[in-house]
Amino acid sequence: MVEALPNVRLVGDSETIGGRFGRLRITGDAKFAGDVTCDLFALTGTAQVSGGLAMKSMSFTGDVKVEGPLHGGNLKGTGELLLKSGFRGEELRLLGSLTASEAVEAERISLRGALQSPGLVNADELTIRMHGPSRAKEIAGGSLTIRRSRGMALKDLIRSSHRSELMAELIEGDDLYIEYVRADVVRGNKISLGPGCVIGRVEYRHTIQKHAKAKTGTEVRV
Amino acid sequence: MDSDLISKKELLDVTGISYGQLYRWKRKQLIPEAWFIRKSAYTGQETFFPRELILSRIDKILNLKDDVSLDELAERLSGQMAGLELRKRDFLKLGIVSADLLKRWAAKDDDERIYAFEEMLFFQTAEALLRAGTLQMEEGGALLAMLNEHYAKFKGQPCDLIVFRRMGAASFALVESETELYFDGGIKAAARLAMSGQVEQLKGMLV
Repeated sequence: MVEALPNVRLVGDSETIGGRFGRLRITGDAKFAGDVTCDLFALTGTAQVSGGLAMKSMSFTGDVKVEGPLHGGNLKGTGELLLKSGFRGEELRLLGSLTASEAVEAERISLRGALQSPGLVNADELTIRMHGPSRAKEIAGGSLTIRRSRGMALKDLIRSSHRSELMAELIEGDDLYIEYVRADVVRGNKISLGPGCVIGRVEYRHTIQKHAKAKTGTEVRV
Repeated sequence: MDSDLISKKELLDVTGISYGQLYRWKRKQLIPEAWFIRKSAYTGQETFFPRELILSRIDKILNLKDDVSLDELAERLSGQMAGLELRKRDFLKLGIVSADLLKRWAAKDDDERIYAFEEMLFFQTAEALLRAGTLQMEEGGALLAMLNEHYAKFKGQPCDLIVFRRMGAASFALVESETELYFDGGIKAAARLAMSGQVEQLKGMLV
């Protein structure tokens, strides 16, 4: 049976149990006490989901906090995304800060801002443009680009304790360009290390390029 | 080094796949999370996989990926194999379990009786043990009863079947994989079998 799911518009402060929706549009402050399933999740403001969130597409401006797993299609956001679990979906484009407690996995991830994740970040195509200190346990996938945003060099001069660099245990992929990254191990087919990299061990299969201001411990061709 | 495991590096070399493919298949849940085994090596953390399982899985993916979409493939390979069931006579025709055995262990089941994937798995497991000589024909019933009662409780989590004997009499147990078990001296552990391996084998025969 195909039932038409209700389209809902929430304006102002609202608190609901959650549920299944068609298009869910929120303006203001919304709290969901349970799981939310919807086709579209569009938010301007703040949303807090105490369960999981499954959506086909999602866009937001503001703050989103999800306690359970976030699953779905494309997510496009500006602001803060705080996940007490992880993300699995098609695409994740975020301008702002991404914090996740578990794996973040998508076909394409594009992040301008900062990343905090004690787990795996896994994407076929990943671009991070750092606007602040970032940290991840593992970043892995196909083609990975990690850059520092221009202007951060100046900011880092002023506040040297909060350097805009990415700390990771492992970065692994087919085609890598990374800068301002501190990692224990970097593995890949084609590796290009930009300025500010401090890497314990580099394992490459085809080529390696290294900026004059990149430091590596050992480099091995495997 | 554990010879049942294969390192990620070796896996990519042997199969010729890229990091991107490996991680894409992980994302699509074609390769279960549980198969990524982290171990510390001299270069820091390294990832290992169960050798047989991952090689046969990757072989399957490479063979099928041109014909079906990854999502479809994921459905076919996913642990539950939901929807995969066969009538007894069709199952018999596949020759996974010999007719004699089914007659003995499933005499009361009608030819039209539909077997779920798990039931076929139990028959196939019993047959494999019988062939290996660790199980005797008359013990099969007890094994099947045990599997029928307890296997579902693992909810797809990796588990091992243990066959052990005291004074020649067989007993069976299911334990979570990776669990260490020690018996007193009077017991002889006859076999330990990873059920996930059986699932893979059976899928290979059915898909």
